[in-house]
Amino acid sequence: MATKTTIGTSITIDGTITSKDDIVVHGKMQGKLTTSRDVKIAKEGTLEADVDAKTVQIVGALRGGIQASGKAVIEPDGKMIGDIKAPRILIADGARFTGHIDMG
Amino acid sequence: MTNTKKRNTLTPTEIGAETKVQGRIFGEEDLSILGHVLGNITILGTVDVADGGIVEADVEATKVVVSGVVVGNVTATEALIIESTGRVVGELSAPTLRIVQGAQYSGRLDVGRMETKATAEPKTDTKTETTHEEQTKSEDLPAPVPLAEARRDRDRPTKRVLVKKRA
Repeated sequence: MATKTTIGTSITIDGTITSKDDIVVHGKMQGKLTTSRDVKIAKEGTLEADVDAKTVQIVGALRGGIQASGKAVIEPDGKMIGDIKAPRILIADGARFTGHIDMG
Repeated sequence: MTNTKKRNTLTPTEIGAETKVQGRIFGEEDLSILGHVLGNITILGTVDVADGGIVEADVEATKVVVSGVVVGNVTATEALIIESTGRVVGELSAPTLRIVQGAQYSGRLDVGRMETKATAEPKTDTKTETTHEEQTKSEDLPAPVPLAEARRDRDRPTKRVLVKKRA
């Protein structure tokens, strides 16, 4: 059952999220984000967290590591500081990225 | 306070059924919880704990609607509603409170002590009429209500006055 978790623009979560849902973050989050499905950091989303998911898509900003079992995508407006470990990685033209990549 | 006003923001915040959040959640928009939250919730808006949702946290919000389970202290600045599927263990504080028949609740109540006294008290008054258990809990209610006002409120057809409580 594919349910969805959405963090709204004015919401801040400070802690750990453990999930089997798709997660979309429009707001802020600090801590650790783990899901067996997909994570999207929307345009206004700001994460300071380690993200562990199937696919991770960054349109907003992420400071922290990504561990993706599928794919990690940094969209043209996306910013990321941290390390990515994923079998498939896409960093779009215009995206900003600082960190290590491991496609192991 | 009949219907829940929710999802009035651009990006409604929803904690999905398969999601567990440990920590603090705060912000200025409505929040629906279908999953599991442990920690602390402070929201300027409506917190809706859906049927199936579990909250083990202190909740502070403008309005709180519980159809799921809440273990913790709940403070609502406007209204607090426990729906028929709702279960709450903890201290409740709100200017107006509605516990729907079938709801389960255990804890201390602090109702109607804010500025909106006039609207809150008659409701508490009608409620105690039907529930002897709750009556003992309302000892800290201030000032008697004008009889005519209380009667008018009581005579209004309502289904929100019943509290079913497990021993």
